[in-house]
Amino acid sequence: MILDSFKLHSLVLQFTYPDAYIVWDRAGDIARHMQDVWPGLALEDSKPNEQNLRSDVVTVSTGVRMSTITNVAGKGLDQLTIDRMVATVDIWRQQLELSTFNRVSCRAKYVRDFSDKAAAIAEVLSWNLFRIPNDRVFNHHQTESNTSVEGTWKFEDKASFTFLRVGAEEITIEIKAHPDFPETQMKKTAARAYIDFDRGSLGEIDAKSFWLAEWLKGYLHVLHRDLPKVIPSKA
Amino acid sequence: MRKPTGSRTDIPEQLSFSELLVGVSETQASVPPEDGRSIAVTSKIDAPRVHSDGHAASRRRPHGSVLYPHLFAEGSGSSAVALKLLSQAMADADSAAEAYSSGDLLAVSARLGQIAAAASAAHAKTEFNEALGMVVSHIRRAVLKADATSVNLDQLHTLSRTLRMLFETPTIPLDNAGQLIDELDAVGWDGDHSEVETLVAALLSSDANQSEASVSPAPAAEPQS
Repeated sequence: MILDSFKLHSLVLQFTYPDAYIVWDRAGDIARHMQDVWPGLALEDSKPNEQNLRSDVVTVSTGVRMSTITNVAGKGLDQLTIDRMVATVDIWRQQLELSTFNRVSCRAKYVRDFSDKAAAIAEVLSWNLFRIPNDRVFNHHQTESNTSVEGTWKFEDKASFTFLRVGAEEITIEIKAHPDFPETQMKKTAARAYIDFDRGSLGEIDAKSFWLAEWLKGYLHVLHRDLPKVIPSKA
Repeated sequence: MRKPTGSRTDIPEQLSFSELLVGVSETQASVPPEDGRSIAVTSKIDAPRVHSDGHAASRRRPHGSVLYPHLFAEGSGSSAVALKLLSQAMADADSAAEAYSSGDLLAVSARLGQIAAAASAAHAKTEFNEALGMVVSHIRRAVLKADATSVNLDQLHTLSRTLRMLFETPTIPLDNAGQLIDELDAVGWDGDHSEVETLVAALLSSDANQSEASVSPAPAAEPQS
C-alpha cells in the first residue's frame, strides 16, 4: 500500500457542537485538566471565543463552537496519543456539557521526503493520476522551479465527507539570526510528496455514546480500505 | 492557529489561504439576452465551503455503520458477527410482530426461538462493548423465558425497537443500556429469573461445543439488569 512508504506528519481532530458559552465560566478548569492530560502544555493565547494551549507536539484549542486537537511532530497515532485524545474529548464533553456534536472530523497528512522537488513531483506523477505535458504549457515548463502538482478529490453525502489531497511540495524554513548570535542563522529546504486525508461525520452525533478511539479506527479502516482505489499500489 | 475553513479539518501549517479555498459554490444570475428573454447563468467560483452543520437533513443521527464502519465490516472480527446477528434478530422481531397481528402464534414462537438463538450467539461477540452485551444478554434471557401465547404486540414492538437501537448504536453507553433494559422490563421482557439462569447455563454449555458461539465465551459474571 502506498502509505507504507509515507509517515504520519500531522493529525488534526476537530469537533463542532452547539454553542457552549459555558466555556467562559470554565476556561481555567479546562486548561488545568488539559495540562494534566498533555505534559508541557502551556497557554499560547486566549481570546473570547477560544483558548489555545500548546506544547512541542500538540495544540489543544477549546472554543465556544469548535474544539481542535492538533498533533504535529509526534509519534502519530500511538496508543498513548489516542488515550490522551480520548481524555481531551472527555474533558470537553464534561466541562462544556456537550450532549451532541454537529461534526467530528480528522485530517491526517502523510508525507514522504525526497532529495528535491523534482523527485517528489516524479513520485506523484508515477501514480498515474495526473500528467504534466513535456513541452511548454501555459508558457511554463515542468522543470521550472515553482511548477508543481496537486490534486483534490471531494466526496460528500449527508452523513459524512471526505477530502483527499495529494501533491508535491517544497518547504523552506529560514531563521534569521540575532546580531548577537550569528551562528543561529539557518535556512533549510525540504521536498516531499504528501497524501492528505480529511474525513468527517456529519449530523447530530450523540456525544455520550460517541467513542473516539473506535471512531478513529473506523477513520483508518476507511482510509486503508479505499485509498488503493484512488492510488493503486505500484506493481 | 489557523482558523477553520469550510468543512475541512484544519491543518495549521504550510497551507496557503488559496489552498484552503477548495470548495465550490454556485452563483446564479439572470442575464437578459438581446431578444428580451431571461436566461439563468450558473457559474462556479472557488469559495470557502459552507458548513453542512446547519442543514436540516444533516442533523439526522448518523447510523453506527457511518461512525464506526470497521465494527460492521464483514470479516473484521467479532463485532461484525454480533451486529449481523442483531440485524437478523431485528428482522425476526419484526416478523414476530407481523405474525402476532395475523394470529399465527406458532410463527411467533418460532421467531422468538430464533431471536433467543441469535442473541445467545451475539452475546458471545459483544466483548467490544459490555453495555451492549448487557442488553443482549437481558434479551436472550427474557426471550428464552417467554411464552408465545402470553406475549403481546407492545412487547414485540419494544423488542424490535430495542434491537434496532442496539444495531444502530453499538457503542451504547452503560446508562443508556440500563434504560433500555428498564424499558424491556416495563413491558414484560423480564430477564431476571432463576429458571432462566438454569436455561442459560445449559445453553452456554451446549454453545461451548459450537464453533461460532464458542470463539469468545460469555463472561462468567454476567452483568445483571
